[in-house]
Amino acid sequence: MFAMTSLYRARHALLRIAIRLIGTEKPTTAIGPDSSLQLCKMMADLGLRKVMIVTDKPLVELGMIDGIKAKLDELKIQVAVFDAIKPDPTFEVVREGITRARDASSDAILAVGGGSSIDAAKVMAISLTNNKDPQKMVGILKGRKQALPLFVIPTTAGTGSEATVAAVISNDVSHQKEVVLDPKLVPVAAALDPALMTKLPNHITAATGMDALTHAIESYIGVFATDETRFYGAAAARMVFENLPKACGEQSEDLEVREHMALASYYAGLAFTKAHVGYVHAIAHQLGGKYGIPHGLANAVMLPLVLEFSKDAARHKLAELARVCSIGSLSMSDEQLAQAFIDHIKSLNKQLGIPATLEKIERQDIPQLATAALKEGNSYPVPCFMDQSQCEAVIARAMVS
Amino acid sequence: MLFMTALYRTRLFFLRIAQQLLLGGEKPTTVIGPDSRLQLCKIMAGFNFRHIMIVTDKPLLELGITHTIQERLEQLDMKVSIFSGVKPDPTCDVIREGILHARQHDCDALLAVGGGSSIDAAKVMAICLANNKEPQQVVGILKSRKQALPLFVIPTTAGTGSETTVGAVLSDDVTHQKSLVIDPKLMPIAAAIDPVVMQKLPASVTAATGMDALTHAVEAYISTFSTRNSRFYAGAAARMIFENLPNACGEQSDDLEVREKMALAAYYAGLAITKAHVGNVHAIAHQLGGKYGIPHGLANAVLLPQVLELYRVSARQSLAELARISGIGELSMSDDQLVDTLISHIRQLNEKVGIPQTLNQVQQQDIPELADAALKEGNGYPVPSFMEKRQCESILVKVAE
Ligand SMILES: [Fe+2]
Ligand SMILES: [Fe+2]
Repeated sequence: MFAMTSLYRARHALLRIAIRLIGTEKPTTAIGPDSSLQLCKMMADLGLRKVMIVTDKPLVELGMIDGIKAKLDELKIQVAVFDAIKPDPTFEVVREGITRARDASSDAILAVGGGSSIDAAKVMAISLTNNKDPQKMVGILKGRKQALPLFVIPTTAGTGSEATVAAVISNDVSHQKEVVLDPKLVPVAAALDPALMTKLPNHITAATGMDALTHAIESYIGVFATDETRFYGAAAARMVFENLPKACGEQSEDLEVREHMALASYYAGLAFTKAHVGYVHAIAHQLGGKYGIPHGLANAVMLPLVLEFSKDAARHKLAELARVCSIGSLSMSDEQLAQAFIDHIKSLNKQLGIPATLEKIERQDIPQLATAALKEGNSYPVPCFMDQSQCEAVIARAMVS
Repeated sequence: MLFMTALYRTRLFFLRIAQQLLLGGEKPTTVIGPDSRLQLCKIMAGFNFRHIMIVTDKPLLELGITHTIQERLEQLDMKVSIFSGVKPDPTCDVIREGILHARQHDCDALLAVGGGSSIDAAKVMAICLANNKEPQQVVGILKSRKQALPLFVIPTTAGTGSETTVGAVLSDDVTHQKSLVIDPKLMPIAAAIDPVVMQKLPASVTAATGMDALTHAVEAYISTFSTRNSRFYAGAAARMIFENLPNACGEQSDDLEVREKMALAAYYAGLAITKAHVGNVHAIAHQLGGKYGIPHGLANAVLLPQVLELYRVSARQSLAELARISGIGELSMSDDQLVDTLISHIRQLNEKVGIPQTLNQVQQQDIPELADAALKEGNGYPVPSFMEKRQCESILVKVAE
């Protein structure tokens, strides 16, 4: 284990340098009710004439893109709509979108939707200008040319994908998730528009919100965290704790509450695009690939279980987070604060109607899930490494007993 | 000359690599549109700051521009103190005063409200405060280790683009020589691009600052560091300025749409120079500012058409492209004709917004010395072709007439 640990750490050191070299970007943002229409205006200002909207059918049927389309029409921007995105989009779907954009000779892409639409649009944008099959973009810095100008209007507050250099696409056959990493994936601009989030069903608000919280916490306690990423991670965590119960309750249509959640998700994105995630995501990705469990839900369930494991190694960081989020009392020791923080997450889950366990997990799958999760998780800047039996034990606790 | 050119190009090559490695491509989080300054206050509240120091100048304070901002911050439970000691071309003394003020009040974030001078002063204060350093100690590239004190910005002129650059200019207390601080930590956390605070800007200031933004757009566009990305922003900025600056200086001076377009243009031009830098117009303008106190934008405006004359050959294609993007000239025109048209269009714009053709403060006997200093600075920029001393002198002679 010791040799492995130093091997992983050495690999992290190289990765950290690579991240420095890759650099980061941020989108220009428009924030607040109807900022999505401001974003349309920016597209016109930037001289764009033909845009393809990347979205999903349910959103189109709910009429969520009507206002945006009308505004683009008014600005004399031609619009094509590609609404074939489904959860966990595959390369096949991305390819379809690329063909559609070529046919419409689009000069920009506007993603309207959750993480799936945004990630698919990112990979379309970079494949289009580089004239490559999307599968070929998997890996680090595979695009030579700037992506087609990409604009983003997230309709969930969770993935933070509007702020990150990454996109996750599923393999057509194995449904394994593959990652495209490139600063060119960062959108030109993003609108955080709470008016588009007020109708989000509770269970989606809850799961996506917990995804954002997981980004905030995993980036905060990871060894790549910097003053800057902790600044954003802490703000995001505090805002989620304060606003997520409201957003899932009677204030679900409150624009202020929804805006805070959207900002929190964006800040968490700013944090983890530099400081990465950890084992919660590593395990959640396997649960998503194997059983189709939604990403946010899997994260929400795994978060307290993984934190229990990391509690000692990340004690000071967790205590710091607890203090920033006003959890626990001033007189508590770091150990007590870390525990109070984890307990707080458990009770938040309960309040949001998120179960403590996941029915779909089968005991006989656990060894294989753990192996895959470790393969992914050991490449993340986690506060302490897991071995196979530890990982199996953590997953087993998420199983219905 | 050939040898020197090769030397300069080599130096620039390394600068470019260093820039990619160290400076990244960050932006502030932005809120855009009328009253977005109040949104910015809300964003600040999200980070739980206790005590904000507003960095501004006396005239703005007396106009009451900071009043609504202060009120809003206080409503949101933040304490506010105001440092209004910033003057044009801020000196180290002023910055030291501001630092002292912030320490006395134990401020945990800064909010710059003003033009480039207030923003630059606040940037240097923020970095000195966090690193416990004197202003002179942070002059140069990457001279500080710690993240700056969180900095927020509300530009009140549409010109410098300082809200989105990683540089700050400060003046020596005695010699008034300008020196540069470059550090990605100078990037503000968030900026409000709010046309309301620009409505009452006098036409002369609107004109000069707007021409500064145009100079950024043009110099970035023709720079040898320019990329698809920087040209995307620079092209849009130039077009927006050509379209809106005459209106902003004329009867539509309080039209919020016009002011917002100018503010966004300045921001986009700022994004472009962060990557592609400025050129000889700025190199000469800085000397005229240091020696005679000529406002930065005014000096740029007068010099811009003069310097572009030098690039008729070396930047022919990019200038012609810029003309086409800006909707200047006819489709049937040759590149040479387009360059002609662009330069005369800039002259006409100067005339329309009341910018003189000459600057009578410039003294014949100072010219050789000014040219030496301008060349020293300009040869460090990625210009399309390097100036010879006699070329620079003849430009200054024309400007002095
Ligand atoms: Fe996630
Ligand atoms: Fe300038």
